[in-house]
Amino acid sequence: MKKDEYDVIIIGAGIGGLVCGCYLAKAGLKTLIVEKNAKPGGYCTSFKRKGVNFDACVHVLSSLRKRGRLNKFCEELGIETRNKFKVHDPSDIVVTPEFKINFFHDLDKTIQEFQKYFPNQKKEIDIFFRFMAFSPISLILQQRSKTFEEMLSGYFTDSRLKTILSVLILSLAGLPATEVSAFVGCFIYREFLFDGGYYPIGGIQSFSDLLANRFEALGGIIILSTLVKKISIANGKADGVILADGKLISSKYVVSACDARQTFFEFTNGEVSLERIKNKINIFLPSLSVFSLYLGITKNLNEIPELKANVWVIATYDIQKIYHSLINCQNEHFAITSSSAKDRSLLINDTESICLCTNVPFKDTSYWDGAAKELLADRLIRMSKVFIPELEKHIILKIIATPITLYKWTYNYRGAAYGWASTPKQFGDPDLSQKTPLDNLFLTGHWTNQSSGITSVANCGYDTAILILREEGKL
Amino acid sequence: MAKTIPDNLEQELKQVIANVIGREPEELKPETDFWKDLGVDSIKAIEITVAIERHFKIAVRDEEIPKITNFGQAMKVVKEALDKKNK
Repeated sequence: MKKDEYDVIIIGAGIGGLVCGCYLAKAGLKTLIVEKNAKPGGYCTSFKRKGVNFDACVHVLSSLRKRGRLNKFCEELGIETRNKFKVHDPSDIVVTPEFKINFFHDLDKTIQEFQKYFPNQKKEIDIFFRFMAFSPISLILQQRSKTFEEMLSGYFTDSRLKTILSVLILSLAGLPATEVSAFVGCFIYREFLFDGGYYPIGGIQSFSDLLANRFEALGGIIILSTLVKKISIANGKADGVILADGKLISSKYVVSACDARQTFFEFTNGEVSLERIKNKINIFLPSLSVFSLYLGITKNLNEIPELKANVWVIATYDIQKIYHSLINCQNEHFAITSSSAKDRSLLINDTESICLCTNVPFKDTSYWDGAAKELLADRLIRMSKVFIPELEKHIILKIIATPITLYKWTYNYRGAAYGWASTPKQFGDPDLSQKTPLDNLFLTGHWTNQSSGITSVANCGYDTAILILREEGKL
Repeated sequence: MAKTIPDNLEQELKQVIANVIGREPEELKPETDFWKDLGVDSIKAIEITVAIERHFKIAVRDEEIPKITNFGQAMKVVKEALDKKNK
């Protein structure tokens, strides 16, 4: 019988694929990752224009405290994190029409910040934040059917406070708080907002490179700039991949760490055992996409030290207005991040790198090819002036990424920034589990039933590796 | 009248849970702790719950989910939900 060339082939070198690959390679499995782009990372990537570094979609990492989940994976995989990150505290700042609120690593300080501005909800703020940070999993599990908005309403009556807490979830889950699962909201606060602010020295790409290098050091192989066309199936089992040039590479297992529609409508089209999943995918909703405006500016950001944090700007307390405005791409909320403020080694020729980004629906190519792109860019620049005075006078470089850009970069359906929408109904759906009904085909990343964000997809990558290692009798 | 409890409930339930967590049904002993012994985390706990609900066409109350910590507890929760459904 012909021997497989690999034990496992992973399609996609995003963080989920890389973490999965590292665990498999560490356990001694011969593992190949095939990536369509010229560098690893998926959304966790950086690019350069005129020498200036821009982080594409992911702008900071989280959960790297001593007992954090991402830190645990790095430790287990032997990835040295010491001196690899700049740690910023506060990690996040919310700018409202009236004031600025900081998220500190010290939860007590964060609670005091919120209490200072919302003395009418002092007690509830204390209970809510401590619940989000410390409550046992058993209590978080009981939030399964609730939306984040329903959970918030159980604590707070102040609509301004609810808007602030909701917009952070909108930005970090790509879904209004009225739709996002409360369970997922809890994890976003616990893992991201209460333990954020870790910036890889050299730019966000450095983290993906760290994982890719470790994967190779563990014996794994990455092929870049290579498109998978099909998953090879024989005798009811996945048994390799067929590349765009027609070359077949055989393996015992295949892990798809890329867009779900690619996996089920293109790579495995016609496979009867996957019909149920295809039907499910047809009715499943994706998360929102993101519009990003990358700017090279001459203003010295030493003057604005707050930009070491992620800055979340909320122009109105009317949450319905925020939701409606994003549908029309006249956003009332957005984030300001700066790679050169977070890491001064990225300041090139006195040009600072900033990114203004916000959630948007996919729309279509003709929409973004029209005036909409420039209109939204101008709007974000105008709104940023509350934080960066006279911003427009300092711009020397301007690049726009629309949902179409995100789609082209990753082939993620409708340029979704966070995979499937993490609604109470969709989150945890067993039909999109990592183990598929087709033998030896597994999934990982944010197009599974798990949550999105770097820490979550890393967790998913780990889980998928464990499932395969168990099948192999390696655990 | 609909039958309250399927004859092969134990086997069916073992299969449903084993599928979700990537284990063999035989590994699910009544006292085996899902979290400590079988590596179930909070996301898998939700997935197990949804899988059980779909398979047996029952509703598991959110307060019951943390109780499903081993196969014995899972049986108890499913039996109660089936009884309630058929009342």
